[in-house]
Amino acid sequence: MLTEAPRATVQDLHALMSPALKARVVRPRRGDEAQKAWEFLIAGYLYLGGLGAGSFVVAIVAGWLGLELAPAHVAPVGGLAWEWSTLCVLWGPFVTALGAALLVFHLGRNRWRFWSAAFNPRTSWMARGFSILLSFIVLGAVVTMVSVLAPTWPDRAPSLWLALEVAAVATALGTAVYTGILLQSMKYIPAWRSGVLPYLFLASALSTGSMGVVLGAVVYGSIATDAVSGRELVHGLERVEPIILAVEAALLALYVWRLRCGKPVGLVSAKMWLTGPWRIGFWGGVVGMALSLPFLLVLANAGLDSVAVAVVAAISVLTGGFLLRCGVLAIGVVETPPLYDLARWRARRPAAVCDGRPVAEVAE
Amino acid sequence: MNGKVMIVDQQLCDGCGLCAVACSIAHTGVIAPERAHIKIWRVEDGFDAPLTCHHCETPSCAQACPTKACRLDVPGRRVIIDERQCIGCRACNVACPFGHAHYDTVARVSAKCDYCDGEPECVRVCERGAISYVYSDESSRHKRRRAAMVEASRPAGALTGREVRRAVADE
Repeated sequence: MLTEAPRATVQDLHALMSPALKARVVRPRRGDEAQKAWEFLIAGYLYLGGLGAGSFVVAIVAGWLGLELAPAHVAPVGGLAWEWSTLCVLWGPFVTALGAALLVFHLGRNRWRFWSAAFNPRTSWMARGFSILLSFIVLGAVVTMVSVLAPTWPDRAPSLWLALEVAAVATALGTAVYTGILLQSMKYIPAWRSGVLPYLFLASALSTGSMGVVLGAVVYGSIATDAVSGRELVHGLERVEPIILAVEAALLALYVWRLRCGKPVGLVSAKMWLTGPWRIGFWGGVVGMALSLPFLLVLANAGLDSVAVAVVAAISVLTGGFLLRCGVLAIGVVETPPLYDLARWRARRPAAVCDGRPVAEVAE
Repeated sequence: MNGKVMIVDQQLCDGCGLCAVACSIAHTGVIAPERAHIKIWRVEDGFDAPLTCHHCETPSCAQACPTKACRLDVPGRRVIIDERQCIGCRACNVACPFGHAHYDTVARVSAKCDYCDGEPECVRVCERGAISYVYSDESSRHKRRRAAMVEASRPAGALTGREVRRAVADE
């Protein structure tokens, strides 16, 4: 949009053009660079969205399999019988809401207009994501609050309750997958334009969510009067976690392999992650903290049965999951069409001779 | 606007930067080339490439916009961002393959070239004629004529040996 400011003449502009101003105008272009528009706040949004959704799915499915936190443990608070133990595992919708808050914080001047995007899901994947995210937050919060405030209600209408839980789990799975689809929809960034990415983020959401629930169960176990509370849930999740981690590792390997074998810019992205400036984040953070260390710790803990080991494994997975999102965003190099074919540009200059000899001779 | 397109001839650009300063004054009211809608990249010494929006027929920035603040303005044959609707999510910045759409950190919305509503400031102030605003059906003829003029006006033997070797290696 144009302003009403008076237009400068060419003479005025020449007078203004100091070396300092010119240095601000003409900027060096250093080859392939990763995008800078989406950084840590968006990484946090993707991570918390996935973590909340994954933990919700894991907690609900564990509940269906009978792995719950001492369901009879009801504490009277404020004159009501609150099943507060549920909050230790069903915190996913609130974490996802926190991630959505990060996204809103990342937005600009008209940030509250994101509601219009949420209610127009046809426009883009970001808008669809708003809708899926909001559905999960609302349905998940309803499931959680009913479980906490009216723990006897599900027994009165079991089929309705099951339908509500299934709907909430479906939106949670949608949220976890969407975080990858959002990046995949950016078609000029080969590192993101990968069909593996949504599944990788889903696996990461389930692994971080599972370990998040383990942390919640450990916290509950430390404050509950019943000493064995949550032990079964932790054991059950620790049996499943190595499988999720193995699937996640396979998907990560497939993702990186397809990057290396794909477009040249994808190879640049792969090099940035594997051997370039983000190599510590990849090998230490993703391979080490998100996959290898917790895999070994969880396997070892089957014999040790140590709360400390479970906590270390959980913190390791949670940290690595965030670094995975940061890494994927950081290697997002845009594949620019060949606007500036330098060789052609040089060749078009009438410099058919070099050091007194034709160019062709120099080439030979 | 009205079937016109903007053409940039990198061979003519000497990187004077007047276009970016004039653009920033016209769109923001202040001298802030970082906020200009035309960028000048120094690809290598002696080669400055002004980069402006290509106003694509199927703009990926518009496809990525969740509020459709960024959209194809069909009558004007241009892609615009309505700053009253833009929520500043920067999806258009990420989606543009040319890196043209940018986030204005002062106005806190995304911004891009809008042809100055038909009278581009960058074209007005470009003394060397590197940026031109012509009817789209004339653009290829314009480019050929311009290229012929450039070829005719340049002295021979302008490249160094290193430049030529690199050019040949690139090819």
